[in-house]
Amino acid sequence: MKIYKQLRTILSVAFVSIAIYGCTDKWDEHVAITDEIVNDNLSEQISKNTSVSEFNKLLVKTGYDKVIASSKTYTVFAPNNTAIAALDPAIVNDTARLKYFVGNHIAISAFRTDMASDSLTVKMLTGKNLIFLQSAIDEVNISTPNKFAANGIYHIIDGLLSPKLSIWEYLKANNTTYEQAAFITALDTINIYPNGQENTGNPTVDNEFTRETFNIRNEDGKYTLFLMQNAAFNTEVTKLLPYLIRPSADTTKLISTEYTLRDMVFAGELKVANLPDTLVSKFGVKVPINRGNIVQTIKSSNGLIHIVSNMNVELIHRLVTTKIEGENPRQFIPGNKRGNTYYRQKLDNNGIEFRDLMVQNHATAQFLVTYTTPILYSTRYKVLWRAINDIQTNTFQQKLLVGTLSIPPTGGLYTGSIMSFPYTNVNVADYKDVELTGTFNLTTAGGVPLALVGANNNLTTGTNTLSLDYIKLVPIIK
Amino acid sequence: MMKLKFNTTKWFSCIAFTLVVTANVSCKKFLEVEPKDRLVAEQTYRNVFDADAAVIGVYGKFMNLAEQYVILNELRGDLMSVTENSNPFLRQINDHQVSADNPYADPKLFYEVILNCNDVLANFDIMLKDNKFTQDQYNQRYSDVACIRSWVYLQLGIHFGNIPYITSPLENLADVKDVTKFPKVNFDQLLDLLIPFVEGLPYKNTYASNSSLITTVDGYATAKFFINKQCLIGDLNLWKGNYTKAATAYKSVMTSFDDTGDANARYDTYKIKFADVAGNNDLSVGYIRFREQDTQGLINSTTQGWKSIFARPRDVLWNTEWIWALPFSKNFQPVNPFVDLFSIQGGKYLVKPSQLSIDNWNAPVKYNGIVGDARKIFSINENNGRQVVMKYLYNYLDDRTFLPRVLFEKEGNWFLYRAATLHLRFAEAANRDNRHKLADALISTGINNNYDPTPGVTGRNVTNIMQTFDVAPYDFDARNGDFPSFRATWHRNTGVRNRAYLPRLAVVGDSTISIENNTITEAGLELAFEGNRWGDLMRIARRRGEPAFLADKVYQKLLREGNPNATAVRTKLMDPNNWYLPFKFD
Repeated sequence: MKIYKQLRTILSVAFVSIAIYGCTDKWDEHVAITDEIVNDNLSEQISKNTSVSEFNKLLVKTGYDKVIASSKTYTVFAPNNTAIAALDPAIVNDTARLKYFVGNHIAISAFRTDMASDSLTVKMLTGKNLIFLQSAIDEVNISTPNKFAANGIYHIIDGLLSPKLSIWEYLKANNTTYEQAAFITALDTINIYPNGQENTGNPTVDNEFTRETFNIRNEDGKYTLFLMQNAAFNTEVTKLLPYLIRPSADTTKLISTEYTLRDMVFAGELKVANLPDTLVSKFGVKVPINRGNIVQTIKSSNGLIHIVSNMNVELIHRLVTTKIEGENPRQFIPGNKRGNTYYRQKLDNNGIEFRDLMVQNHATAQFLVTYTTPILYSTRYKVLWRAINDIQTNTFQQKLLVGTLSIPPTGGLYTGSIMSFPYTNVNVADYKDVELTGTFNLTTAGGVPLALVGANNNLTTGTNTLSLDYIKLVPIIK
Repeated sequence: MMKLKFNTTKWFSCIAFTLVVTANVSCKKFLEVEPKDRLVAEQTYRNVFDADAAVIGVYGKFMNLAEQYVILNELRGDLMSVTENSNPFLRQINDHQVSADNPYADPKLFYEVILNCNDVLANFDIMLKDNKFTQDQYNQRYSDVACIRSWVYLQLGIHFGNIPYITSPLENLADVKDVTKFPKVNFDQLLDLLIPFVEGLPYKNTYASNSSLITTVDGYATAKFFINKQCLIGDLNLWKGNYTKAATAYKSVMTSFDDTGDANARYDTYKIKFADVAGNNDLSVGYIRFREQDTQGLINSTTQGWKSIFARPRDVLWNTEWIWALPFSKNFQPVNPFVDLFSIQGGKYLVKPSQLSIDNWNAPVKYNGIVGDARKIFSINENNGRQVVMKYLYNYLDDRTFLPRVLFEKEGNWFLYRAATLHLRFAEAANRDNRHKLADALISTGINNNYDPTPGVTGRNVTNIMQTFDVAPYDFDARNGDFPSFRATWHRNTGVRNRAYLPRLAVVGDSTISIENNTITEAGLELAFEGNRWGDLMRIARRRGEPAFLADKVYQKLLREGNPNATAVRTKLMDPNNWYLPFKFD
């Protein structure tokens, strides 16, 4: 009995021990790393791999070996020794350039080739975005993919990932060769518009070109810029000079240049093969594209630069019509008729929605609604309006003043009267554009105040109504 | 060993015996304490006030159905859709792929209310027998609870089709499962059981104004808490196809304030009254006077105009519109489920207006030529780029900033029946009863305008116009004139669409079908998210034997949101058997 009891105790202890021991063993097996090499971090792994030993030397020289040994996860695109042999010695000998170069081979977080079955944008430590598509990074072939390490992945590639310039950096680097580049980059410090605001210190805002068009410094967007050779540049700017006359010849030149160049940049990466025969710029200008004029295409990190020998944008396309919306007035005179002022949103005779402004039954002779314009060209303009008379059964009259005296100056040069168009009928249910009789001429370019004037009577309801969907100011070629 | 075993048994026997004896003895002494926060059976059903408490208790339980009611009736229909926050069960409802374990398709809460009603009704019978309250008190309360039960059954029938119909008190909810005791009835059989039962009830009006149930609880007048029995009778008959009976019941609600002696109550209550164009103190879509052409002149207010139907306190105007609405308050249970359901601020934003509902509202052109049904921006609104159902949130959120007035005070209402619902249902019945013109008048521009050969002329003798000259319940007198003077009962009626500042919907082709379509279209614009849609669509599809009427609308909803199941759902709904949810009770 006693022996049996002892035996039982011993056996129990033995079983429990075996069980616990066995458990531990199994657990270790479960979590054990079978591939010993994965215990090493990226730095250790790359240093052990003789096929990238030259790249490893550069990592050590720039201190990036410490970075990729840290606890963050990285992907390294390591060029093989043959590729490194082709590296410009000037880069190797310049510490800053070398560091920038090496940084363009490293990205935060792990990217495997199987993740890149569709193109994947990988942001490198330099801030440049490279396209990772299947077994190629930035069109450089990956010969040995997906080498795992404790803190990431490295791929061995057949070429170098030299950091490309962005469009902005390219212009900056070539601003002695191209007048266009010189002008755009200089806008960081100079102001070109009348009453232009002070520079803020933020170059994206201060630079009129990047503010009005696209921020071509941005690495995360894609843009296409047409960079004209100097002869073409001067031809295009000269064409505009007579239409943007300012009191100072310098300002005339600056504004003409800006107006010329702002139509030369487009959103997206437009490859030569995909270019249509006409592009429409952000400002509505039709820009003809002749592929034969493209001398060279530069691939930048954020899009394409097409260097062109000739652009030849027709003046008739360059001088776009200015449209002033009725529902965006500047001021009402008198200013206490809100109850008679209707901001409307209705359907026209074709079922197309329009928004307009109507002022009715205000009991004021010559009621004024004023508007401002952006910079207009120094040329003659004809005027069309669309004024809708849909809730009355009678025709009423209104007229347009250009550059009236009664309104404070608006930053343009015009304070005096330029043109008073005659009273014009607003016919019932007429949804068409109506051309006003006469034209007005501007001798200098600038913003101009406009005023819509109601009939000169304050008694008869329904006859002093004002209505305006929009005004079109159409420049006439000199 | 043997001896030890014997001893153990003996010891256990001793202990067990002692325990049992002690338990028996001590139970009486220590455990039978009367609970202080609950009533025991002997303390209930002693007098009329206990009976009132039982009725209020039924409604308390009934309010737990609010969330399921809105989800089942709207998310299954075409006006409400799921959001990125919706759980898979809501997505199932939206996609008409409901698994048996879906909590939104669980009939248990419905049966809890039914069994509660059954128990109360049985006890009312006992009380009457024991003379604990008068026959009149019995009639009012018994009929009320019986109608709640029938209303719940109607909902069960609409959504589940085959259900057990139980009218005897059960001690235990699980007995519902006992198929041998309670065989299932289908929807048609259910209607045949419910209609004679409800019509045979001894009392079919609202509670008499001197009833002890008509009082003020927590600051809320209780009159509109209780189900309107005539509305229920109308609805049941409308489902059944007894159109004259339905119209009669609805008409009795429309005219229920005609004999109070108060002229304004007669002209305004449940009459869809014309707009107050000068002061905008109305329930209409309106503009600041003489600024009708200005988009910014629209009355968009929680105290004036159409939007205020859902936002204003229970005042005189509120009472002209609302027939049945139960409040959720911070002061009592249950908690308002609609904040969680709809709100981004302080809620979970589980459902939203469907793209189809938005498209429906964007299409019409108002009288002033401005595009879009204004009821859109009063029913829903955009908050941080997301469309939010606002109808239920005006008591909780500020309607401009979307910020909760008090974050944890989730005030609101369960909207169940209002004058617009009543008029649209009446129109549906009248139309099927060959009163096309009357139906069209109530939906569009009102009795007065439609029964006047030359509307708008003043200074006339109107003795022989502006009225229907029809038999009850289609007799409407809307005369409004001064030579001689007429201010007839219906002279302020303006029509549902006219109240929303929209011109009439055209009647095209067969007038019965066309006006019926118009009624349902208008119901979608007017009553969206109020828990009527699925029933409305299904009733028409059933009546016409045309499943496509229902299936196409749901299809359009899913299609416009890019739901890949759209075609499959349409195919599924083309079989009426698939209109019903799986009935699983456990």
